[in-house]
Amino acid sequence: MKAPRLADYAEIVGAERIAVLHRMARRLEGLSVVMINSTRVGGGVAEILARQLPLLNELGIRARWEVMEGTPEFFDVTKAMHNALQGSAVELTPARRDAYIDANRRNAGRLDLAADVVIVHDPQPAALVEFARTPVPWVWRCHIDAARPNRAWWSFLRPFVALYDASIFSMASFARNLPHPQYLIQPAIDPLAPKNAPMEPHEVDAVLARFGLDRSRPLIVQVSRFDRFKDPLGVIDAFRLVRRRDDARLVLVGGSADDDPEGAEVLRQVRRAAEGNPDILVLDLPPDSHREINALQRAATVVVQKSLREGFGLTVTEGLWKGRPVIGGAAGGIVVQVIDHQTGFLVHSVEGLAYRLRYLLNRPQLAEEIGTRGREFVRHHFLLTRHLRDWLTLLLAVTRRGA
Amino acid sequence: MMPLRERRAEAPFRFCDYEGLAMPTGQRASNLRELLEIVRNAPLEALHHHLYRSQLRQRFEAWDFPNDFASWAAIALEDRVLAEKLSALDPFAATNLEAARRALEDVMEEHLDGLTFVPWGRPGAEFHLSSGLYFALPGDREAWTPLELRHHLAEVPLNSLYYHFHEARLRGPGDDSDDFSRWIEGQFGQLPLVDAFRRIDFFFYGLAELRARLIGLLDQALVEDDG
Repeated sequence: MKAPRLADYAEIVGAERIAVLHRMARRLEGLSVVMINSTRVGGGVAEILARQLPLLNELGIRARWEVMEGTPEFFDVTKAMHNALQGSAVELTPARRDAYIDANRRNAGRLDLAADVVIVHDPQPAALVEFARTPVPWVWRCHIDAARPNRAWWSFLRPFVALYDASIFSMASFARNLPHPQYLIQPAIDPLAPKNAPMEPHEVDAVLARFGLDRSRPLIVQVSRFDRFKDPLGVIDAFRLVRRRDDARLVLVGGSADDDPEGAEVLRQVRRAAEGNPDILVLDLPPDSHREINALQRAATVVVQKSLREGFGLTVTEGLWKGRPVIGGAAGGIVVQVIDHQTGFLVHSVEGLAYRLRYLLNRPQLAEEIGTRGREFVRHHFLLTRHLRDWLTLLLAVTRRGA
Repeated sequence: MMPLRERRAEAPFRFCDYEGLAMPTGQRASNLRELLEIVRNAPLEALHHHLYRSQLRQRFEAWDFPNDFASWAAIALEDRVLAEKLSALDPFAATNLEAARRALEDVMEEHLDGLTFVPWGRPGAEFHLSSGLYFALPGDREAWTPLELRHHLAEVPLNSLYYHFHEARLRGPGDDSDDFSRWIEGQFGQLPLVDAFRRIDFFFYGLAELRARLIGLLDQALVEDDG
């Protein structure tokens, strides 16, 4: 498939929004930017980078993407760090500190970080600034819900973060007490990516058939990594409550990212919990299953994202964009996307999820209206074009080219 | 006199793009007393962000609370009385941001004085103090006639409308008017349209509604002038 160009988005968001991007980018012509993260595939960050970089280049900004390398031990540590920063009680051992610092030191020597602006994504490569600092703006982009971090881990990480010239968070509540400017950029989805692009009904049906599904019964779908913060076991519990009175099937769709070693254990637990229930389908799909996920979201009667902690929750945005009502856990960025009675419902418990699922399953007309509003809400606030505009603003700010 | 439709300005109206980012400070309030302290000490830019730019942020259709403090009182503290009092504050009526700060403090203090407890929000629903960094960048659109102004108004991003209609009032002391009516007055004289723009009770309009209202007034003026 040909990569989309900015003009292709005008049909979706209007030509004026694209013109604004070009006008802003004129001031940044020729700027070089390098983005660094820890995985090329899997997870929301890699997805956003893959879609965003070509468009930044089309706007005249020379944007590159570098991926840090690490041993399985390093990714065990960074997974532990990820969980700890989201509030889990995880021990910070000297061995873990050493593995983290060693990997960052080694990558500092290996990665090509020459650029006018350096953007480092998430905690895994955050210490690069200690070993590879260049005399240009360095910005730390935190994608995770760090509203209540484990103190020991945050104390370990904070000195590295403090070395940056600015940091970016997805929600105001994630911002920390830091000695530099902090900016708010909410993530977004690409409406032209295979995961979100329009699909014909027969294509959707073909995907459903491959998984032994059809549209004869309501489908409840949660798409997310097998991660306990996404609470797939809570979704199964809620589904059992729903099935006492209402007919439906549950599909839990996940996959694993290269930097997520814990996923396999959670998947085992989910399979065990679903065992023997013919109405629950657990799908572990490879990371490139975009069309399959697109189809499952489109076929869903209700999309669920019952996260307990959430950086932002792009699967919520995806569900809304497909015109589906979404029930989300009241965590992270889900609360700014799911507005009660407008785009879906926020829930705080297994019982709450079961109640709202039954509420929507029994009001198909209302579910349809909510879905339509959700799509328009995303069109205005959570598409890639708005995200690009935020990045251009950030680059204008850190390079002082906005005046 | 030549009909308004055919008159051309000596200097055009130039639209600006207005883009920016919120800048969370990491400071948070869990209860009303903490919020009062935050308001007392907040930088003016942060008050600006929460009192005025709340207009710019994502909002679902009609809105009940015109500033972030009022929304927080209603949603997090579930204190409808306080939310009503804070909603009634008109920051555009304040002579400057310090005056707006004092008005906010007065409402919160008076409300606390009448209570035997301090209202708290549930964990996770804290008020997060943010500031903002916004750029007004010259756009490509120019209007030389009222008709061109009308066409551009229909197409410019809502942020641009906010900049020229709301922020315009904060730029010059003593001139509580918007850029559009200033331009019309400066180029075409004291037309009824100038007053019509300035009489809009914009405090209760979302930006899309405001756009429709401005276009409606321009259409009306152009038609009446023809007749």
